[in-house]
Amino acid sequence: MNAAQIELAPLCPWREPQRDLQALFPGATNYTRETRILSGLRPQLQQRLGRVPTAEENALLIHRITSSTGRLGSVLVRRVKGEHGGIEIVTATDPHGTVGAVLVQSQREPPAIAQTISSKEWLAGFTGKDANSPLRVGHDLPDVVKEARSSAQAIADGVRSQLVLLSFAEQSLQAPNPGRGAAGKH
Amino acid sequence: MIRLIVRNILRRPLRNGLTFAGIAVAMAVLVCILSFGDGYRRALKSELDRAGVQMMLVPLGCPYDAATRVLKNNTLETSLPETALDAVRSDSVVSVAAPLLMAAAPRQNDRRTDIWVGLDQTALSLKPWWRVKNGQHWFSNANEVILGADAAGIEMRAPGDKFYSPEMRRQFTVAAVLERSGTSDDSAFFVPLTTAQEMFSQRGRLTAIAIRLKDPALVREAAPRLQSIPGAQVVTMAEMMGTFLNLLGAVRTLVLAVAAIAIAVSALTVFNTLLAAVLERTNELAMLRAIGASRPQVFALLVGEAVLLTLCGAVAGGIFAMMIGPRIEALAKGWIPFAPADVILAISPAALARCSLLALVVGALAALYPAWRAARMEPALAAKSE
Repeated sequence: MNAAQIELAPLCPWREPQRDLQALFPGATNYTRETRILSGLRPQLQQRLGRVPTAEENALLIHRITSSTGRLGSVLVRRVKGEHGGIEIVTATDPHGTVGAVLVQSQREPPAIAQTISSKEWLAGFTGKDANSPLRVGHDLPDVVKEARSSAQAIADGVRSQLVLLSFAEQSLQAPNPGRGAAGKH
Repeated sequence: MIRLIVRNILRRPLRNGLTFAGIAVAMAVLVCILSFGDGYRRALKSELDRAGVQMMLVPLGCPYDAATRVLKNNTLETSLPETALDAVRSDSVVSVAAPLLMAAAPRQNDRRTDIWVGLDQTALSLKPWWRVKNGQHWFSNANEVILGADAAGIEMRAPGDKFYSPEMRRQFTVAAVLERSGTSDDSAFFVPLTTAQEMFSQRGRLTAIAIRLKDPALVREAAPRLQSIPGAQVVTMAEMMGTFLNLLGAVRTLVLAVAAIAIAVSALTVFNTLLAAVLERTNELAMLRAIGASRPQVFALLVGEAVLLTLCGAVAGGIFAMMIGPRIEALAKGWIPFAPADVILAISPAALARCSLLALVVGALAALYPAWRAARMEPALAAKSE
């Protein structure tokens, strides 16, 4: 299947922020949205990702999670191509870009695959990974049944892309960058 | 005279700026409301004409609600027996009768609802916007699905990909992806009619039958005959359009009343600005009279200021309306009963001209009293103040 044949889709929404925040950041009191423009970093991104960045990777929507004591981390949401349909993943990172947890917020895989890729045991394999970690199913992440491998690797690739984009976004935040996006309070 | 008018306006930038802004906002509101009404009527007619459907057979219940839901690919709680399709097709004046079965599959955990549409090939002649972007033209077996453009994007599917419905526990192969049409078809999953009936346990049942007649003029003749089909009722597109326009008309009247208030407030602002200017400029106006300006000339000076101010406000308001029009349209499409895919807020030169003329007349009327007061000023007042 040619990736270019896939229609451009609306931005992947964060469907259940309140529910996910309770699970991912129990102490969170608020979150704000920040859009980081990364189109100026496409050559560097291509090098890190090992592929040409997609059109939607020209920008990254970051949900900054805060509590009364300060910043707790970030949440990133992304849609990846599963074996039987789109899979939407929610990745929570600490302020240093290390994964705290990954959730599957939507998928349409048959039960055997769905159970595997949504299982806490398998998703726990992402905890502690960062933008420099390789994420190969069966090597760096727990192995899965054969029929779930393609969707599981799609999730892994999606998480890695998110972490790489986040690291670029954070670096550009430290350096002066005209691409600073608007933040919205929720 | 014109130079004097311009200079007088520029001498009080804050006050005149606020007046100008008030006129511009009122003008923008008025232009948007007038354009919305005209645009909606045009777009609705064009959409219904384009479909080529003159009537729709729906289950008993509120016919307009049923027809609106069917047009927007929403589901109905009730259904028609498939025997109604045979009855419709056997009618001598019916050219095309396309059966449809719409069903929603809520995905509770994902907070989403999948919209499935079962149809047969006759529906294609009633969907002129249906164009396959990638893949085959029609289903080659019962386990294929054709995806609307948005549905394909969200599910990241292309022809040949697998596609699974967790709620129905059924696997499909993507046969085709449609071109974006701007209609509700963009987010739907299309399957053969029999597949949809099987999936949703609706064997022998239909949600609606879309009907095209051999001659649109035969609607009055055909409607009573089709109405007699048991468990079914007929909604003609003309009736639907009338109902939508009536609903919209009521809302439009209300909003026009708000616009009228905005215009009245603008007129009062112009009146206030000019009256204050007259009071402030007593000496100056008296001096003008003393050096030979006639009463009509002073009167014209003040009316000219009002007209120029409202003209500039009207132009800015028109530009503002063109800028915010698409956003208002996007908002409006969310709450109106049946939003056509076409542009419903098309700002026409005629609407701009009508509103500008109204603004000028209102501005000039608001200036009459201050101008009259200014014209009555005695030249001796200038000597007094000296």
